[in-house]
Amino acid sequence: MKSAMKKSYRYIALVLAILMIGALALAGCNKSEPAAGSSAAPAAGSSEAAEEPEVTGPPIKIGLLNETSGAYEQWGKMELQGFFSGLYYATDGTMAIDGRPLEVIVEDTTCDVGVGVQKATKLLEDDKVDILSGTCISSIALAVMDMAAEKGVPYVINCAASDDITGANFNEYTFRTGRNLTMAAEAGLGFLNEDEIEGTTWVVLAPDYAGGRSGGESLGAGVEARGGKVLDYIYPPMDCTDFTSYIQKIKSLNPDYLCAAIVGNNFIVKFPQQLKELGALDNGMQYVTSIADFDFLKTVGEAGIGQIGEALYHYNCWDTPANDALIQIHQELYNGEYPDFWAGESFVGAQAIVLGIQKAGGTDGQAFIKALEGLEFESVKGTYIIRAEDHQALQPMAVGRIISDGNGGATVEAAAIIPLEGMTFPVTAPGRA
Amino acid sequence: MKTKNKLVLALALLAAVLVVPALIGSSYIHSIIITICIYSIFAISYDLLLGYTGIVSFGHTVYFGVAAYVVAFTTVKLHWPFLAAVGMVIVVCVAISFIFSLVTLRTKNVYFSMVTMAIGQLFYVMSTKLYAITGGDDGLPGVKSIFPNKTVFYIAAVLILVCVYLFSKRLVNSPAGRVLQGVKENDARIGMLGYNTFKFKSIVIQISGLLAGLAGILYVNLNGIATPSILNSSMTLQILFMVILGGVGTLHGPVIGAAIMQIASIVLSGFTTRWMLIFGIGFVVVMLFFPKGVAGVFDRFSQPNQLRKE
Repeated sequence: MKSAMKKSYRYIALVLAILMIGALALAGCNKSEPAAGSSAAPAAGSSEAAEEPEVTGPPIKIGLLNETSGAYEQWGKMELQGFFSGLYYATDGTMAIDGRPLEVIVEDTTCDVGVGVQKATKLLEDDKVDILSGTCISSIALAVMDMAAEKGVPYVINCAASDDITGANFNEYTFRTGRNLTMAAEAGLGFLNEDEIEGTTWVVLAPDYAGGRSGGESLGAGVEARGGKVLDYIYPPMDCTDFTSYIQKIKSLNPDYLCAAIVGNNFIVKFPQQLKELGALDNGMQYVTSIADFDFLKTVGEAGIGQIGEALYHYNCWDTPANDALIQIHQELYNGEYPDFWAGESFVGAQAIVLGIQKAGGTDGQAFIKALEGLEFESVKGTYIIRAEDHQALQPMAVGRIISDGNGGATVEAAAIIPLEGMTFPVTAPGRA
Repeated sequence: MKTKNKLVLALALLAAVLVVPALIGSSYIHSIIITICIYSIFAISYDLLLGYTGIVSFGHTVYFGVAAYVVAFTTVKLHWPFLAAVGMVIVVCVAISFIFSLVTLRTKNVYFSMVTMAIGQLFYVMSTKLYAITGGDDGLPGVKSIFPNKTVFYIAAVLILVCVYLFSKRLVNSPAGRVLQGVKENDARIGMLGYNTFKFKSIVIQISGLLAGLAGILYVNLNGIATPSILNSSMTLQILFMVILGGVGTLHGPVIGAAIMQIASIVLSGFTTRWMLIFGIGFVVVMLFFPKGVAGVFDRFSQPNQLRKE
């Protein structure tokens, strides 16, 4: 008896030991960064208490689902800090609307759908929030948006980018102020005029998984629609570290543009390095790919200089009053940190919530929906219009170029700004077109 | 403890679990307890393999995940009624677990674990790549719960857990259950005694697959979405943690383990974003000093002195 027991225990112990070491190593890597939510939320919360001028009504409760811990906690921190900066900006630092103080309840999804749904239940049914917002993870947003609609609570999504949120899965209570994946793919090609794409040759490269393939396909479709020719689609595995054979293939095809939908460290860092090392960029081929957050710029370093592509948000790309305010408020609230990536999206979401409540004259769900539908406002990227049909915010988009920051690192400048008029696309929400 | 006392205690506990939160009426607390029930059912199904048959499977979440996906796909995309979806889950879970046992039971020990892990990962990869069926990384959202509200769901979940527990208890104490425990102690000897051990193992894999599928049905009802994360091997490991933490081979241990893990993750994540680290250390401590889990500690103190020494 004992030997059998011991045997199975030994296997389990072995596997667990390996996992523990992995977990400890990961935890160690992250140690230098401050705990995301714990530092951010109280900072904004205390300002909320200090700045209140006069309270004349019950508080307005806003629930924010946030990735405070887990694999995407860096993104969660960006979203949280941008959100509070946005509330601060839109209320002129009072953190109150028409005398009613804002009470923001932040809940950690831990990047898990089940936990996200649980926390959303808490916010919707126990805390009875007036407005729900948050999460960078599309699957959580997709699950939560149905719950919010059931409770009649408006849900404003800042970051989660799946097309289905304002498309196939549409409901009237859900709004998205951030850009969706179709807009990202469109903007990725937006640095060229249509006649510049016509007649050019392209190779599309993306990691081999559902998101990668659909991203690659929509990029390719965009190229073909503009009269370009896609020579080949290349899908290396997600965990690919040696791209030599793929790069040799790209060299032999010799396209004018190499267009990559990239995810993950290997694709972000190793791929451009190996492109340079193998001289693939020497004969004038332009490398086109999306530009991510500060960590991305840090890791890609000088190897990335010259890269061009859709930039979701980088503070250098925009010259608007709201962007200046975002940088200033963000630095004030968060120890001089510049707003990063998702902060540029959640700032807008927070602003839209405040504008919606002001316009609706309260927090009634239906009035709020009416207020946001067709709302036109100025924010980080210029003019935004929340489309009444599918509740997707149309907005200008930036194409960034990676340049040297003069200290051996990389930063971003705007290569092109695609105006809002150039960013329209068909409504896909069922029954709303 | 005498059997009668135990029964009274169990009934009192059940009554408390049913009544107290129904009085509190917080949907959040209800959803936490529903989650605990779901993971408890899942963990009990795993304990039937690990604790009573000595099968260390790293692909057990396949049934849980596939059941969730089957319900999501048939009700959302094909607009089937819920009961038809449940019927489909039964068919699929039995079929998969039968094939699973055919393929894996030919191997033993660490090889068995490796094969089950590979099959588990195969399903995970399929869930991310078969975009048309599974919705890829975004998952399949839009599943409507069959329960009108969280309180009803909560009572149903507790009752289902009790049924699963009693069923499993009956199973392991039945003659067939004794054979399973014999298989765990000494596979070859049971074979020598004339039992077809392959058949017994295959049947227990199918039963535990069905129970895991039941947990998957409840999960997708609670969360309204099936995503690849529930097919990831980390899900199986989470269940393994629950079983070991609570106590392997006890049936009530997995319930304790599931409750501790859920409550601890909620409490700890309120204090620090590094709650996983604390949790991991706690787990190592339990493994080292209480190899029989929390249930083992309880049982030790509830037994008379002379039994303790044995």
